[in-house]
Amino acid sequence: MHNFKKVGGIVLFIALCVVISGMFNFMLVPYSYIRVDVHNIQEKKYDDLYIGTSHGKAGINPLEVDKITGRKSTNLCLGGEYLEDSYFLIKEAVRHHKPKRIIYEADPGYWVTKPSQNTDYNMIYREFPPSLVKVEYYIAKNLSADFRNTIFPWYMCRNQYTAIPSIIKTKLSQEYKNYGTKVFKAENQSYEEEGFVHINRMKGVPKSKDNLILWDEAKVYQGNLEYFKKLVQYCKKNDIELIAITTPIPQETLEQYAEHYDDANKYFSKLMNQYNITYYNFNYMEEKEIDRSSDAFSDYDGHMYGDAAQNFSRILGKYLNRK
Amino acid sequence: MSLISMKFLLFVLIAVIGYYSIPKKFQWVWLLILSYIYYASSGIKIVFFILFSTITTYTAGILLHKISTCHAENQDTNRSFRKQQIISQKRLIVVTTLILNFGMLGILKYTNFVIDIFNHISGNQITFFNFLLPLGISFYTFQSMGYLLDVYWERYKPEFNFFRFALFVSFFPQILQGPISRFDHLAHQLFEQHTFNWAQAEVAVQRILWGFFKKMVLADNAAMFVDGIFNRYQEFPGLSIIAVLGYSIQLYGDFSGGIDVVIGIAGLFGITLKENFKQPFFARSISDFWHRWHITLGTWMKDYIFYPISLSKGMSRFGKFAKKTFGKKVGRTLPICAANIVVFLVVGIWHGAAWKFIIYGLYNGLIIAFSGLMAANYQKWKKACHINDKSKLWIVFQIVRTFILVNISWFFDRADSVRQALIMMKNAVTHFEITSLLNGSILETGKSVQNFSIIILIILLFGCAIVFMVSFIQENKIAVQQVLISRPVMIRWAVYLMLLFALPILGQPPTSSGGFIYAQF
Repeated sequence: MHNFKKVGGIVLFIALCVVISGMFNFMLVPYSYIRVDVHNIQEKKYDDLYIGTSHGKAGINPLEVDKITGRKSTNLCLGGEYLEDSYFLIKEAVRHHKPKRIIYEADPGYWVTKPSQNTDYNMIYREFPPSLVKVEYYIAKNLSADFRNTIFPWYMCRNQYTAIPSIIKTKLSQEYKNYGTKVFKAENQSYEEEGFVHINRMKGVPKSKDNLILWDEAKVYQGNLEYFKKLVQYCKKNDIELIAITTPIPQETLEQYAEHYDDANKYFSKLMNQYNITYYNFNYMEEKEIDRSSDAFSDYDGHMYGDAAQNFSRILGKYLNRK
Repeated sequence: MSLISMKFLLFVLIAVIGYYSIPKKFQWVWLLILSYIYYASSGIKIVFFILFSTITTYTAGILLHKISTCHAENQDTNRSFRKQQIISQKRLIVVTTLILNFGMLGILKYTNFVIDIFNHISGNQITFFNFLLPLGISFYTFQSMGYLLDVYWERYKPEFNFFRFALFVSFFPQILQGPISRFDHLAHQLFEQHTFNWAQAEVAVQRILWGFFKKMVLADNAAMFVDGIFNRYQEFPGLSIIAVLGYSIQLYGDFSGGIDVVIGIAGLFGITLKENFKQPFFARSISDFWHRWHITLGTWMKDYIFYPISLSKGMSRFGKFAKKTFGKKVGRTLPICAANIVVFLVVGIWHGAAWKFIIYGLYNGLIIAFSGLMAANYQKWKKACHINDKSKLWIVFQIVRTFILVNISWFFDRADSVRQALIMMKNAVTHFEITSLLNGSILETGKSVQNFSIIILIILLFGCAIVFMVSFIQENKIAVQQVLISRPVMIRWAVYLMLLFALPILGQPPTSSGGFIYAQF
């Protein structure tokens, strides 16, 4: 009887913690367009999937590419998406519908850094519905990480406390229930169809160099290499074509840090060649139609403005048609 | 497997459930298996090192005992010759084992330091080795060598069961950052049969929560601007004092928090580990500080370095010489001072392979030695100034004085080099302006960290206030945990909920690799 009371007390305490944590989760975790991206791969059938980083998100407009390729594609790139995230995104997509081709946008900066525990850390994982893929993703990403990521899923969003009223309002709206995207429309950017983020030109906003992470082969994050190999094997096993690209960056940045970018290009070319993967590094392609001036980019790191991305997407389409 | 990882919490949960579910006589076997799984999870290669230490120490312990028992059985034949033979045999075994184990530690930890010195002196460019540094090697080496010396001095009999001894060396909660346990205190607890006890488990969980609170709310918040200032010390000369005060908070929260977690986890298995901290910032002298900070390292040093040196023949000769030269009083104190300097030199070297750690150790040793030499003068001066030793004002003065002296040593501990430490110390005196605390420059120090703001400073002060309050109560000999456990369940729940939710709400992600600073030792 004594033990029963004790166990009952503990269960009650845990239940209380779960309820409080659930409340925080609702209040602090904002509605993000990853929810829409993940919903898309569950509901729609795509021929091509783009995975990669914010460069890909802002640089590839699937609708424009599709006009050239005649296929149907969606953009699953994301700022803070490392290869381990991309790998599980693909697995989740395949669970619903197997694509024919995957286009991996390789950003050298993401290969020489580790995923850091910031707001992006669990953004993709969080939106996955319960499944074995999610369990596998959890083991890969969260089991060795800080226990607060698991016990308090809102932990990385705790600094959003000032946005609590708007988060609650959004989550209670029809827009949220219907996976709407109007809520993501802001002055500087908007989320458009099929996962493309259109960055708007803003007058008087200085261009940042803060996000620039330079290539250094000695710092290559082994986790990326490991998941790249896994991705290659997974695509091979499932008969999915894998192509790698690197989106253009401003010519000014490329020239200023030529040595770093040249080394990165050599590294990726060698790596892709080793796995027999077609690799297009658009910084080194003699493609006159690409606008490489800093006018085409919102920063020196290489995030394209929406109009430049439309143009680049059409060029990308032509290259993808070559295969 | 970091102590703050989900993997570790699950590991502990499975370990505890298994521990109380299996037949009690196998509990220690279960702990041994888990300890090796835990250790191997960081790399199968490093298991070799702990096995090496275990095998050599175990074998030495058995041999020492065998030699002693043989001697006891053969007391009739040529006793004095035989005794000498026994002593030299035992000494050979001990010295060999000490060389093997400390040699291993030395090679892995200090080779590159020696190469660096050699390169500087000779102008050569010998390349550094990329040695694997096994998890907790400093801790388990000291623990097993303590056992070896105790057996050598016949303080207790050796452990005859190899696997039991292996558990003593590898017991998983403490292997990462101590405390450094003694065989006669820990071993019998490991091998005893334990029954699950709700009250004991609650106390253990309390301790774990409290440890995480100190680590995540205190240490990790402090680290945000401490790292900012130490990494860019030239940009913030006026904040050197703030940096070192912050480091005090960070190091205490990190190390003592980690130890709380370790003690709590051991408590879940019914095992009581030695305390490693006893309100160190209430210390009234540096010597007192080292009786309250990293206590198990301090007592290890006292028992295995200080006393053997103080009682050695060489030191006795030095004592006689000192008495003749400097008089009785000083002559009696000088050997103790010398032993203290050696002890703290070793403490410095133990902390890491760098000149700054050597200076850190020597600084502490010299202060203690100087205090020892001046003790009689201090008494005279106090008498002359009519200072009452027990007056509160005097005690506060002593605490503040010690705190300042300790903080000076932290410059060497935290800075990247001796040069940086000296520059920051100079800045602390020449560039300190009270306005630098109020003009917002402190917020600039954490610029590289997302969302760094005044709120973090407020959280840090709040955390400090809580920890100070608890420490103050403990300093007044009130057992906070026992007080809490005697409260009604609703009050306890409220406290636990607040502590638990403080971790994600007020805490920051860890900045040091592996989560805890001392986990890299």
